Amino acid sequence: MTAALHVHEPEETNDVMSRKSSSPLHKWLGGRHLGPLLPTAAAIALVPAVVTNDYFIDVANLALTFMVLGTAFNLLYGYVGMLSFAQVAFVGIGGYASSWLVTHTDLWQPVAFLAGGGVAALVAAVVGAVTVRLSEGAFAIITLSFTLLCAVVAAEWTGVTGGRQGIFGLPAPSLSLGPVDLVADTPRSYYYLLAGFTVLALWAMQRLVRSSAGTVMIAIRDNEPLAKAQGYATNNYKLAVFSFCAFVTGLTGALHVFRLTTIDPSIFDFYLMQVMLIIVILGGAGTFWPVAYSAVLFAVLPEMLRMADEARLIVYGALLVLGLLFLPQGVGGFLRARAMNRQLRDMRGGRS
Amino acid sequence: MDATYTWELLANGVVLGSSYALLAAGLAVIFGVLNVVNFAHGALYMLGAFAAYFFIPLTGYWIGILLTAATMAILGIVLQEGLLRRLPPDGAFSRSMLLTLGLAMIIQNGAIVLWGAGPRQLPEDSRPQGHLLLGDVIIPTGRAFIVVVAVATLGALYLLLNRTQVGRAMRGVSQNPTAALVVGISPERIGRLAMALGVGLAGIAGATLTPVFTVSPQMGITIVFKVFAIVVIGGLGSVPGAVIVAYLVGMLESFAGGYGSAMTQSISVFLFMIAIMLVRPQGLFSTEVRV
Amino acid sequence: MRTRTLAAAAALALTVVGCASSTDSPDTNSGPITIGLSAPLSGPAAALGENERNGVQLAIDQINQDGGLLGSRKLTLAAQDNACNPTDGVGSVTKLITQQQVSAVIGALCSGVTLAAMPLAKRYQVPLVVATSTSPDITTAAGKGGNDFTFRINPSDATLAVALSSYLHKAGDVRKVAILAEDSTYGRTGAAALQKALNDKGITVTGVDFVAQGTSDFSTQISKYRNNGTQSVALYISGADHLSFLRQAASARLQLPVTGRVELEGQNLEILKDEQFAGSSSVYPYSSLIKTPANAKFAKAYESAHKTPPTYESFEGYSAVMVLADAISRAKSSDPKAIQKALVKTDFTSLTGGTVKFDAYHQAHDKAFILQIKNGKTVIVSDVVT
Repeated sequence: MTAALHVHEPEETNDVMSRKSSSPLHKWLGGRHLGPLLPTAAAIALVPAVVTNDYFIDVANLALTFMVLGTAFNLLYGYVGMLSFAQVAFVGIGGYASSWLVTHTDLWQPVAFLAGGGVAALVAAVVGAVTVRLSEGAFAIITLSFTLLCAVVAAEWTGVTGGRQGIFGLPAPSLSLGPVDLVADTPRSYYYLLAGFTVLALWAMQRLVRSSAGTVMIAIRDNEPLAKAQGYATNNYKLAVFSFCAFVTGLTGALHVFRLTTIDPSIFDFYLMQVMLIIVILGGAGTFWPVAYSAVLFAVLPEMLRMADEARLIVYGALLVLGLLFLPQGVGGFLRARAMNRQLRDMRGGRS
Repeated sequence: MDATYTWELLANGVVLGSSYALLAAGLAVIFGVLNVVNFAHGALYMLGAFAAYFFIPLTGYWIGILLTAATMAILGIVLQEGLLRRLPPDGAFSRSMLLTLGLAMIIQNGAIVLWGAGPRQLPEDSRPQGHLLLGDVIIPTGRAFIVVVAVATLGALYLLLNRTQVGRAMRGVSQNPTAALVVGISPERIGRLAMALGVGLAGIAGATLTPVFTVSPQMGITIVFKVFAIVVIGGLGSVPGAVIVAYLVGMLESFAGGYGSAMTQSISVFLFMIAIMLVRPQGLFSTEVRV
Repeated sequence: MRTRTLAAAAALALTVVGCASSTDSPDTNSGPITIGLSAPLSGPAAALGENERNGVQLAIDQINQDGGLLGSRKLTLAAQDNACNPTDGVGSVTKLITQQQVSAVIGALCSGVTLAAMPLAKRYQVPLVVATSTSPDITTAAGKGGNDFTFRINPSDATLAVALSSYLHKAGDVRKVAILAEDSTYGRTGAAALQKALNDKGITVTGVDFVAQGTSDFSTQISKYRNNGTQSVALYISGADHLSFLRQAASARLQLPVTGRVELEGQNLEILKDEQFAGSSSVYPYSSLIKTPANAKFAKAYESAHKTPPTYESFEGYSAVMVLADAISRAKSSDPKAIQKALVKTDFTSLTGGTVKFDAYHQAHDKAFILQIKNGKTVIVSDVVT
């Protein structure tokens, strides 16, 4: 697989050819790449109108959470090639930090959520400063151990984390704007909060990927020594992306635990990590929208399969193995390769 | 707290270290030769324990261990031929890691479906009986056997890697895969052998614990992370490094738990790893130069 | 390209919509009555969850064999895995309530999940019967604490610990106790309660160790107990770890009685009847030896179905269904709100011979038992009202 194929997604190539003049606002928002975001946002906005059952709204809430978590992990693994097992740690750190702030201080909730992301980013900067220069394997294992350590700290640091049973009875996020009181205390009202956040987060992450920094990220994944030789401070890029993803992940974690109204050390369980991995691998590491959609699929899948719970993880494991063997670039990679071939054919056809 | 206590903790550390050494050596062989971080190692260790649970009552202790080792080695070859070797070559490192993770999910949850989640123990008459008395230190026979099996197995592994043609070939592949290919070493054959050895060692580790502990599908979940840490401290892929560090960690845990609490015991290995990473990020015994 | 993205977005919306259309309409007057169970059926606590499910299923089968409830309406079980974490826990309970339309939920085994499930019970006004979670905060928040829909039938650890300490104090031969607990809410609250109760009785605690669930090697702790003058070890560990510790203590010839929350049955008893553990005792909310006709029936049915004596979790699961069935009969309805009203007035004889009645904090005070091993057999020394 050549670097070029990785860098230019077909959408991009296509749009370059058919670029039209656009307003500065349109450009700033992401210009030609805004395309997939708008229909996705529209679909997200449509869900509460067509789904009547609270449980399915809750599934949709989980789908939105997975969408952001999966995409943030995709940024790291799919675009920069960093296989970080610390993502689930940042979910927990963001969750714990915001929960502590809300229950122990008078901090305004939205600020507490942002602070949750901020703490996660800070921790990531420290962990990253040590680990980004290590080999792939060492990076993976150390981030994994970091997550395990976080679980121990969460269980032991009783004064702050509430120990094993954690912090519970978290208040529903609320916002008072003059006469209007917005409270997200039902799955449906929480959905609006998460939906807004998800669209914003996806937009920001897509902006990053399509920027010039995004190109450097991909270069690091495909050939780090070469990127370094071209004068890019690759470790700084890796550290920055690691911290940025930790911020997004921590913020998502905060919103996640306030939906559950409780957080305990099981937030650091490996399960969430397994889900993120499957979403990214089967969606297609390094392809943006297929991964986001595959997150939806894996939130909804257990509902569609209706199988014994013990069997669910077996099916997940089997999907992971089969995906890696037979669809190694994921669905996204498969579609991209197909589109690429078609374009090559068209080009050849045009020339003759 | 007296001298006996210290000796007892020392003996515990050796037993613990022996289990870790078998697991870590297997992980290191698989990593060194195939460049695969085997997430399924804990699940395979659990399978080994279950295999021994079924074999030992039929055949007795020693033959049960050997049968387990052979079964698991064959399973290793099947996994290599059926799955790992079929991975597309680009980005193979992280993909192989994720493949073994998927495998671990299948094996572990499959075991719950097959055998139930509850613990099992070998029937009384199939377990090694009695205990050794070294001074005032009591060592149950089953635990002493862990040390015997580990020393014998690791000794054989040392001879295989250093004194035989095929072992030298394995080390060659581990140090420089391209050069090994150039001098005519068959990577397929070496890959099969590495998986057979690695999975076999995990199986032996599980099998020796069956008479001492209880057997349950969840038994491999936590230990695999510890063994990862050991292999990283030892220098990824270095088999002697993994074995030495395994014994060090066994001692460390035994004394951390003995003089501290069970919690200090369980995090000591990770703190050790972080300390090593800060001063020597490539691990204690790595010969490889990393940037 | 645009069309493809649109198609994908449409497909995404359709999947969600497709899910929504499969909702069944509620029917509270006829047809089967569904009881929900949220318990860990995967992960490290899966064995405990399986035990609880077995107990719940057994109770439901028995009730159906006896003709069902409310004029031959059958009970059905809707069981959901919560993997012992709040994420799956909230999903499982929301699903049971809003989609499977259960009349009541039994759950959620792990305290952390129960604490996450409680606000849902309150929001949707469906009773949640807590049968195995030990956190004291559950009771603090229930009933008078504000959550009218949460009820707990298992006794609080504090009462059990006080009962055990009094027994040990009276027995008189143990003055130094070490506590070995699993690193879970169960282990931590249990250990804290026992430590306090022992101190109050002037019994020294030589150390408290919390081991991770799934710990296989206990040799360090065993050596410690052998060498620091510990006269008895109080255990607050469950499942495989529990058995594993006893196995290792036996083969290491650790000569001291165990106490705490030890299940003196089945595989454990096989080990504990040995001379080296002479004098072992336990405080337990259940024993298969309880001499009531109801328990004889339960224990026999359980043994014939699962080849082992019932465990604590099976007993509590069974009890929870029986308490609910009683409330449904009195409410003459399977409507969750009516069941809640009936639950508050529960006055039900449990198969322990004790009475299940909910106090202002919706905590029941069933009997618990001090058990001891005498001549290789478990005997009930005394019972205590918790």
